[in-house]
Formats: sequence, structure tokens, C-alpha cells
Amino acid sequence: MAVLKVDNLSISFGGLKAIDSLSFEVEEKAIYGLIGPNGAGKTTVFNCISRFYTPDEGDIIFNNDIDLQKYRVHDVVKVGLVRTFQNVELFKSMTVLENIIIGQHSNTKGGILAQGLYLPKVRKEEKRIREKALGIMDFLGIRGIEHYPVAGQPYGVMKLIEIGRALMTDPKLLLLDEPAAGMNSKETEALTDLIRRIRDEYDMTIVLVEHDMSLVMNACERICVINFGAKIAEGTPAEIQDHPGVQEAYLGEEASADA
Amino acid sequence: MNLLKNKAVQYTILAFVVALIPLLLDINRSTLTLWNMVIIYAIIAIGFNILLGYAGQISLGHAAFMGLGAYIAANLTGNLELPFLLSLVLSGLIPMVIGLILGLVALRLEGHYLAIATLGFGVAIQQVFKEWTAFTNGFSGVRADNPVIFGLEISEREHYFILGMIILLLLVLFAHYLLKSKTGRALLAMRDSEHAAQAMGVSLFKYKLIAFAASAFYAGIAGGLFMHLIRFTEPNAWGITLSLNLLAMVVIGGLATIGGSIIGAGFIVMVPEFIKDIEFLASIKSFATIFTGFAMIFVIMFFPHGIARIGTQIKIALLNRRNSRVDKGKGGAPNGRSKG
Ligand SMILES: Nc1ncnc2c1ncn2[C@@H]1O[C@H](COP(=O)(O)OP(=O)(O)OP(=O)(O)O)[C@@H](O)[C@H]1O
Ligand SMILES: [Mg+2]
Repeated sequence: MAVLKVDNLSISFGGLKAIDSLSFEVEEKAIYGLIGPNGAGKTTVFNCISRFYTPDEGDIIFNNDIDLQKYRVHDVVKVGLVRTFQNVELFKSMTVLENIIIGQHSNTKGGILAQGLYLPKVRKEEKRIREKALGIMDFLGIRGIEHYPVAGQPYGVMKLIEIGRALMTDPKLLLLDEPAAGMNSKETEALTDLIRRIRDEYDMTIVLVEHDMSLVMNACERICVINFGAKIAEGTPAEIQDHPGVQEAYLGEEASADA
Repeated sequence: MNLLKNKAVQYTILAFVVALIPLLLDINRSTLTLWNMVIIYAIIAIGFNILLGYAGQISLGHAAFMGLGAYIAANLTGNLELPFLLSLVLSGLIPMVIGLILGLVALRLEGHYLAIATLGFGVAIQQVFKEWTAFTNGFSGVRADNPVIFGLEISEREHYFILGMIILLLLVLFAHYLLKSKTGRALLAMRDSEHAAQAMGVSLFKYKLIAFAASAFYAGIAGGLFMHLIRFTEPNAWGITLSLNLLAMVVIGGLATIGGSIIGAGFIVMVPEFIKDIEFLASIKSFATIFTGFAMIFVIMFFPHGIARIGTQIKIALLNRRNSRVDKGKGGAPNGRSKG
């Protein structure tokens, strides 16, 4: 079963066509890679799926029958879809624990009055989400820093906190935008392992955008390559590695970077 | 021992101890009026801090809500002869509805534009106070009686202080619990990163409205209490000066802290009084206003987290210094807000 179906997606900014009739499907419990050179439109795809952008054309169907276009940006998390950001977007004045707890926002019970009066049910909720968040921190191996501000944390830890915050939403589908950016090869290796463990232990589907090929090739079961917003290849890591169009797209980028 | 560490318990004990001071000591009436004013401004400052400190939304027109609360209280207890407590609640609720409307405007505006729009709102409402004489009696002003609670008239400043302290305590506890649960986290999240907040399910629409509504409610209650303390008001009291003083209170006291709001209110109310007693300074026209301005600049430059967090700020600075010396450098220092 396809958890995510992107069908004929297009979006332009001014005259620039950032996504060009892109279609792909992600199977349940898959780790799916979305790759492409800089500016290919990967983040834009995520922005369309998570409703930050409204595409000009195309459909995005989640879980078979949920038409994501009908949801507002803050509602997609309720259907079980969550994303991280390419440039870590944490709540910098809050502690690590509070950052992660926010993930349960939509599932936290209690209205304004109940919160202000701190009724027993609110108290119980606070305890529940706190324990849930600590459990996730244990899973990520970042226990012990829960009461520190996120601002002082090393970059790699911030990336983990952002993943923790996403896990806290109980997602069915997790979109990771360059989770390995800024990590060294050892950290990337650990991250590869972590991504697999997230899929297995939390029972979810993961789509990741990444430039680090070791992560992509080791973690992903299927990969979609886009360039200038259009799909140029899709297949298993082995198929993608041998695909001439893919090498061309990346070589083209390197050639222009060298120039 | 553990109970004393509970912030709510601390607030409650402190409120009761301070409330009783005027009964035990012999303090003159005008000083007690000032103390009462501190309570009233603390209430509006807490509400304003929810808006500015937590939600990150600016308003330069919040004096209007306090004025509104004052006029509503005067009319409800005077003309309609409603009981004091009911009237007080309404003097919070009605401005709250208007705050919601202002919030709807705020949804479309940011930063400077929001500041200008709310400034305009404040000026417009003050103009309404001047023109709508049926409600405000124009420049002649309106009067109100001493509050009567369950048949008991409160005419002594000491007793008004206790009443004010109880209301302040209730509003402090409400804000404290609201801000430490879901709503507080959502507001801070929205202030820190609107994108990430949305991705986590926080509706900017909902929480901006909540922040405006809550701040208007607190302002209205403060206005109602003011009306029955001073027992007279006229339109000039509700202008830009008050709105700016409010800004000064939360910036000087400390953004996003309840304690800071109260300290800031104390600062803004008491400092002009101290200056009045110093002959040389009192001779300088508007010295208090000038002083407030400089105090604000000074605090922003050296203690950006406000007076309430100076202790934490110093502790963090020392910790960082030690960390860099020992060359651990990891983990950072304890969070300022949760300790502040
Ligand atoms: N809001 C926007 N307004 C205008 N142009 C945009 C906007 N968002 C994306 N673009 C453009 O769309 C194109 C694709 O951008 P996108 O960020 O999706 O690339 P990417 O594949 O994520 O690149 P990178 O690997 O560098 O992150 C770029 O040319 C970018 O400038
Ligand atoms: Mg990108």
C-alpha cells in the first residue's frame, strides 16, 4: 500500500518552474530517498506535501484517501504527517524537553480554562507527555540534557532534538530534510542506523532528502532523483548508482561548481 | 520542603504576607494608593507580557483596554447598579472581545506594521473616550463608588490592597498555569519559529487571538480595579504615555516572566515617587519619563532578559566562564526562563 502518492505535482515561483509534473509513490514502512543537485526542488516538494506551499497543479494523497490539499498547514500533523527542516528550526528559548513536548501539541487535552486552573486532567496530561518525551530522548540517546536550553547544543544534537520533536507527534510518515547535514562520517553512520531503528521500532514510513550519498545508499530502499523539479530516475540504490542520467546531473553540478 | 519549591505556593505565600503588611504597619494613605497602583499595573503588565513576551506580538495601544475596563466598571456599578464583582468580571470580558478583534487585525500584520496599527487603535479608542460622552462623560470624567462586596464596603486603602492582592494572586496563578502548559509552549513556539510551530500543529490564528484576548482581559480587569480605587477617570489618562509605560514595565521587568511583570510595574510606579522626593531631580520637568526611557535602554543593553533574570544571567555568565576554562564547553547553561 502506498502511504504517500504524489501525482503530477507542479509549482512555479515567478517564471521559475521549481517542480515540474513530478509523480512518485512511497510504500508503507519504506525508507525512501529524494535526491538531486542543489536547487533541484527537494525542499519544495516537502513544502508542498506539508502544506507550506500550495502547488499549482497535482495531487498529494496520504494514506490512500486523505487529500492533503484540504488540510491547513497546522492540521497535517493531525493526520500523521510530520517534517523536519533543512536548517534546524528549534524553539531556541525553550529547553530541550519543552522542544520535544511541543510535538504532542495537537494531542494534548485541556482547554484554556482547564489549563489556567490546572485541573487534574491537565496535570495528568503534563505528566503523560513529559514521560513520553523522556522516552523518546532515551531512544535517541540524548537523555540528561532535558533541562538545558536547545540554544547551546551542538549541531548534531539539535538535529536529533528536531527528530525527537517529530517523533513526538506519533507520525505515520516522517519527512526528513537533510538530516545528516553538518555531521561527520561517524555521526552519519549512527544516523543511518537510527533512521532504520525509527522505522522499525516506531513502525513508520520515512522519506528523506539528503546529499550525503553514504546515508542515502545505505538507508534507503528506493530512491527518486530529481533535477530542475522533474524526475530523472527512480529505483533501488544499485539502479540509481548505475543510472547514467543521475551521474550526469550530479557531474553537471560538480562541473559548474568547479568552474 | 518540596511544597515550598512549588512556584504557585511561593506566589500564594508571598501574596498573603505582603497583603497583610499595611494592616501591621502604619503607612499613610497616599503611599498605600501607590501600592495599590502597583498591583493594578502588575495585572495589566502580566497580560501584556503574555502578548509581548510570550506570543512575541507588539501592541502600543493597550492603554485603551484598561481605559475601557475603567469606563465599563464605572457604568456598570453606577448606572446599572450591578454588583462590584460581576461588573469587574465584565470589565475584563468586554475588552477581551475587542481584543479578539484587534487580534484579527494583527494576524495580517507584523513588526513595525503591527506597532503602527495598534498605536492607531489606541489613539482611536482614546478619541472615542473623548467624544462618546454618554459612556464617558467626556472631559468632565466619570466617578465610581467604593466597591461593595457581599454588603461590605471597602473604603480603606488597606482593605483595597488586600482585595487587589487576592485578584492579582488569582490572575498570577491562572497565567502561571496557563503558560506552563500547552498554551504557554504554543505561544513561545510561535514566537521562536512560526514555521516549526505550524509544523507541530500550532495554529497561528488561534494563538495570536488567544494572546490578544488574554492581554485585553487582564488590562480590562486592571482598569476596573483602577476605577474603584481612584474613583474618577477622564480620557487623558488612557493615552500613549500609559501604553509606552506598559512596554517599559515588561521590558525592564523581564519579557516572558510573571515575576518580571510585577517587578516592572513596581519600578514604573515607584521610581517617579522616589524622584519626587529628591529636590534637585524633581525640579527637572518630566524627569521620571526621561529616567524611564534611559532605564529601558540600559536594561535592553546590559540585561536583555530584564531585572527579574539578572541573577540567572550572572549565573549563566559565570557557568559559561567556568565551562570554557575547564574546556568542557558542552551542554550550555541552565535555562534562563524556567528559573527566572
Ligand atoms: N518561496 C520561494 N520563492 C521563490 N523561489 C523559491 C521558493 N522556494 C523555492 N524556490 C526556488 O525553487 C528552487 C528549488 O528550491 P529547493 O529549496 O526546493 O531546492 P533543494 O532541492 O531543496 O536544494 P538544496 O539541496 O540546496 O536544499 C530553487 O531555485 C529555489 O530558489
Ligand atoms: Mg533543500
